[in-house]
Amino acid sequence: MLEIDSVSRTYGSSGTAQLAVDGVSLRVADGELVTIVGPSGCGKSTLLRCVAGLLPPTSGQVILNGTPVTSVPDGLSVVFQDYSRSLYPWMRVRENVALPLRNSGRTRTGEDGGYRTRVARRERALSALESVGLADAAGKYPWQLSGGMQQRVAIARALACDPVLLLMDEPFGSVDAQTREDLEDLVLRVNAERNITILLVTHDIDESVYTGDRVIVLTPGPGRVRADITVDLPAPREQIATKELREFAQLRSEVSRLVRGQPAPVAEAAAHGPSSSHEMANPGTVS
Amino acid sequence: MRIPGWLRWLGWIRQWLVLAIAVWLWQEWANSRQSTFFPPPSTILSQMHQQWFSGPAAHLFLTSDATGNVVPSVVRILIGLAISIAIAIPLGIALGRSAVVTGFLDPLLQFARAIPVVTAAPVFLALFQLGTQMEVATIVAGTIWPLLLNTIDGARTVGALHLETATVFRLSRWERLTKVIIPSALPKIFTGLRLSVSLSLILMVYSELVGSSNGIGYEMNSASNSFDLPEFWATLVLLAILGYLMNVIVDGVEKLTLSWHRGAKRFAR
Repeated sequence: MLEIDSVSRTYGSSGTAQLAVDGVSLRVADGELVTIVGPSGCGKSTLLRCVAGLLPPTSGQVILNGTPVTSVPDGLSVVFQDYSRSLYPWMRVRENVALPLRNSGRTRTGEDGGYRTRVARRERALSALESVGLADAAGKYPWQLSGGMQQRVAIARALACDPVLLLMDEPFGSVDAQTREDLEDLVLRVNAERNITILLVTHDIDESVYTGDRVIVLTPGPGRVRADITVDLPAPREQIATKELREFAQLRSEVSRLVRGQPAPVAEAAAHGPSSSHEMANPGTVS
Repeated sequence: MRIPGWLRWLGWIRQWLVLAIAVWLWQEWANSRQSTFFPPPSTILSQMHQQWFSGPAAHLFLTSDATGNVVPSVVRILIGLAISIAIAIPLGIALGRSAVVTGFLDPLLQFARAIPVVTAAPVFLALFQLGTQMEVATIVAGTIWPLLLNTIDGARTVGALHLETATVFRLSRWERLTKVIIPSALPKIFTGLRLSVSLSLILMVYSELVGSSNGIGYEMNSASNSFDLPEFWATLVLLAILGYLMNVIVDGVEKLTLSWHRGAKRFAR
């Protein structure tokens, strides 16, 4: 269970302080895939960095499985948007994936620390690469691969150490549409097969609805929770069939309006029936 | 794609063609002028051969002049560079990773670097024993700055996301240093090394002109004092060859360690 407890984050010193995240509260159950969507500058990335323990919140706290997060917690992995600056160009793909395994990777099995031997790390890295369909690229350098493949490597690296919580910061923002769909399905598969809790930040509304069990809509900066919408689309999701569904279109419109801050038309809100979503009466407090 | 053998030869020939023509023109011109000051390359070459490479086979054909003058100079350069590298790279990385300390030290470093080392020779003469000690000190004092400043720059400009990734994946301090910071700073370190290597040759000659009883610089000085122009030219050519060889070595090492860097740059559009 991940608990984000009225987290606020201010940048800069008192005089020119800029509030980026304003009292965001959120609970994410184990194995849940929650997407966070909002206009650019709404503090999504800041919130994610607070959860990752990379940035201390100015107030409030993040609690992962009962332990307050003060530094990068065990069992956490991150996939950054900018894969080209996150993968190390001086290491081969295999080495990039194996690098974290020395110090992390056994949180699930309860064993202490990571993979002790080079051989074990190498095998683990290769199997992670295989699971994202990149076994052939193990000996190459990241910059020899296409953008989509590089992001796959970053995902393999994040998964190799068997995380309990995976944070993804606009992971598919700089890959082409076809690759993006493939990678979305990869994330859904990983979430379903390995029961990893995933927090995915995106500015793409279709993506937030298609991949999410829940969609959190943030207000334009400073970021507050505007709505917490449960996505009741049937699993497994499928790029074409799921997006054809009436419910998908309705959810998509609903999230769109929330992102833009437009009120929902009365007729459609009625048609939607007993809503699976609940808009925050008081944004910022979520039970 | 394999490059056919003859094409590679062609490339090699093209590379050296201009130099060969220049030498040939010089030969013709010097022969026609019969100038004392500009002996033809053939004279210089035979002088070089006779002076350094006509020794006994047991000494790899090196003459006593070669072992007595060329070897000490090369050794001084190597020791000087080794000391510079051993100080500048660890210090540069430490300083580059500490913005606070570098902030304090930066003015000092900039001043120290700006001093032309050759003008400080009297100080080194006073501080160190005449001979190898003083010469090595001069080489270190000159070559350390490009290395240090480039290493600081390289260590300071490690990508923020590269470091954040290291934090997220819980790399140890040692791994962070050896797998992230040093590889990332290495291209800049090599830039510094290149500058230091070419400086080291100049400083070697200079320090041997000032205070030495052997070495290439000493030999050059005594040749010019006794108007032995073929010998003077021979030392000049030898210096050029030494400089070229040192560059070739640095190039080779760089190619081995930084192949990723060349590749990454080529692929980044």
